[in-house]
This record gives sequence, structure tokens and C-alpha cells, in this order.
Amino acid sequence: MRVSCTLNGRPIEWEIVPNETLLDSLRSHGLTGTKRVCESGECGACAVIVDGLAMDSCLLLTAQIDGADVVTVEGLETAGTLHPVEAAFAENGAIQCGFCIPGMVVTAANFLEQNPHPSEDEVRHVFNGNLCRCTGYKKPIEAVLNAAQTMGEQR
Amino acid sequence: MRNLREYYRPKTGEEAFGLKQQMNGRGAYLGGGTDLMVHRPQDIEAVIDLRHADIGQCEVVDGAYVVGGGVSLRQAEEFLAPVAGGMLREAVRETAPWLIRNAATLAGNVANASPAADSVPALAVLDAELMLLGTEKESVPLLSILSGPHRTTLGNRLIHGIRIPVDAVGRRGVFTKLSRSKSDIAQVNVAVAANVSGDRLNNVRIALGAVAPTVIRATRAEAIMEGQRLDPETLKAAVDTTREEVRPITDWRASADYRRHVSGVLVRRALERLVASTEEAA
Repeated sequence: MRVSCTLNGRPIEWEIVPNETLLDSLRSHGLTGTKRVCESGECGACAVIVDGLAMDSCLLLTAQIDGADVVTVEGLETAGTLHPVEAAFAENGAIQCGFCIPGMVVTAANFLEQNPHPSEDEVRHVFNGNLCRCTGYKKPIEAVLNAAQTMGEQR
Repeated sequence: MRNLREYYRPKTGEEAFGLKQQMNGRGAYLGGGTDLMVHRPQDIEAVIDLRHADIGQCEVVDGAYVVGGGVSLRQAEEFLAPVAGGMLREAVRETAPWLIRNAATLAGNVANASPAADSVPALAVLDAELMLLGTEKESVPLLSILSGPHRTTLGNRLIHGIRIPVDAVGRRGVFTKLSRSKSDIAQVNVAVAANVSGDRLNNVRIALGAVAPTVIRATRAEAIMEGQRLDPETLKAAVDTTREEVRPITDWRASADYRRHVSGVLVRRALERLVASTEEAA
């Protein structure tokens, strides 16, 4: 079957099989920023934004995104400028091995869009769905709070 | 889902039900996919994607709150914020973190029939009804469809809505749970609701999860509290009775004894918070 959708601002059309997950499709088309880890919706490393909502791409069939607007971590930057969340992660050194970071960045960017002034508790709850096996949560949480501030100033 | 060969995107609930009937057990409804895509049953040959069907609305009908069968947890938590002083919103929020709540549906959380589902006790204490679509439409009490862990009597019927009756919307409610982190699976979860007049509790409802094969109401504890005030003797009787009513098992999250003990503790705390929140509001 064929699906067409908007991916990082560009129209695409893919030939897929019905049991293919969006995670598999993205990675097989070279978008390897979306990470494959648990494949059961526990870890958040494969988070992408579908029609304005961040979700785990391992739990989505590619067939489901026909007609949708999909943004991956590769699509967060605009014209070579990092998304404020990406910039805050870099500035805060909020990265250890880095494998969980694309998922965290995508999740946080989407969360801040809808919750511009989160409390630390709220950010911690969001990251219940993004597992870091280096256990580096403190700096990512600080980075998200810093990004919220930067984004607030830019408004 | 190695054998998945077909993907359907029905436009209406009726069309979805028709497809499910046709598939004769080989097809599965797909809501948010946060359970189906984790378990990936091998016998499923077709999925019926509910995301584009006409069951995605939230509406207040004559004072009753109706959440459509395709509504995500995120949409539901916002819509349900005014119900029972925000109790349902809190229970839905604690069900899962951001990424999952964006995808998962409230009806899916019910139909998945996990004994530990957080939204289910919260809905049950507000007398929630499932609006089912089958060969005919009917409304049934939410707990009545649960027959065991991950087992329901739904068959091919589709949950096209979940209704909180008008009488229950204004009840006081408290949801609380014991878990390793905020949205982890509960070791025990508890919801209580009541109408509070003066210092007496009426229409008392107590429901618990993760302490029996399905979410249960502690009906004998409810009867002890009905029409009473929260004095130490009555509260103790309700707590002791709750511990008799639960039927927990031991698994790697908690032992049966521990769950039984905590059931009483959480019911006591929930009832105390319920009364305290009423006093604050007064």
C-alpha cells in the first residue's frame, strides 16, 4: 500500500506494508535521528510529532500517518538554527551518551509549545516517558526549564 | 503483528463495527495503539483505525459529560477538568506520561481491562456509563463489562462514548495511587466520591484497582460510610471492611499482604482528603 504525508515540511510518498511501524519506515528512509530502543512505548527514544502531538513512533503503524503532518528531530531546526530546546540541551551539557536525547528534545519541544510555563514537577512527569540509562535527568530537566524561559522571551 | 495484512480507516462508528463483525475475530480496533502495538497479537490480520471515525467528540449533553470513544487521554483530561473537582483529570494524567497520553484513548484504557488502569476506578465512582454500539445501541455501567484481567464482555461492540451522568458531575472526588513514579503502573489505586452535606457523606462510592482481577467497588465499605460523618470509628470500620473486600495477588510490583494493607491506607487518606477539600471550599 502507499501512504503520503508531510514529513519535516516536505511532501513524501512511500510504498509500505501494512504491519510496518513509523519507526521502521523513518529509519529505512535515512531519518536515523529517531532511535530504536524498547519498541514498546516505554522509553520515548523514538518520539516524533504527528499533527502537533508528540508520540512514540514504535507504536504507530505507518499506514496511520497517511495524510498527516509529521515532524522528526531532524525537522526541529529552522534554516540551520537550532530549536531553543536543542540549544538549551547543548548549553546545559544535558547529554551523556546521547542516545535518548533526540526523543527527549522532540518530547520537550512539543510539550513546551502547549505548556509554555511548566513547573519542574510537570517536566519531571513528562520525562516519565523518556528513559535515560545514563540516569542523566537533572540537566535535561534544567535545560527544558531554561528553554521555556528563552522561548518566553522570544514571544 | 506478523500476520497483519489489512488496514481500514472507517469514517463512522457503525462502519467500524461492521468491519469488526466481518473480520470475525481476525480484526482489532485500533485507538491510540498504546496497548495493541505493545502486545502485537499474532492472530490479528486487520486493524480498524478509529482515529478518523466520528467518535472523537467531547460534549456536555444536558449536564452529562460525554467523552467520545476516539478521544485521547490528553483531550479527555482537559475536557473533564470541571468534573468532581478535577479528580478525573488527575486520574487521567497519572495514567501515563505525555507521549502516551497524546496517543492513548480513554475508551481504550477501559477496553484494555487492566486491573490496574487508573482511569477506571475514577470513572466508576462517578457512575460512568459506556455507550456501546453493536447491532443496537445501549448504555451499560462501566464496571459491568469487565470480566477479568484484560478480559471484557464487549465482543465486537464498539465503545462510542463514555458518559458521566449529571448527578455525578458535582460530586466531590479524590484519586490517589501508590506507584514507583507518578505515571508508573499502580501497586494499588483508589478513587472515592461522595456528595458532602454538612459533615455527612451521601452517595458514597469507593473503587480500587490492582487488588482484584478487575477494578472493583468496595460496596460494603461504601454502605458503612453512607449518610455518616467521618468519625474515627466509622472510618476504621470502612478501612477494615475495604481490606476484607479486596482480593489481591502477589506479583513483582507488590505482595498480596502489602496491597491489602495499602488498600485500607489509601481509602482512609482519600476519604480524609475528600472531607478536607470540602471544608476548604466552604
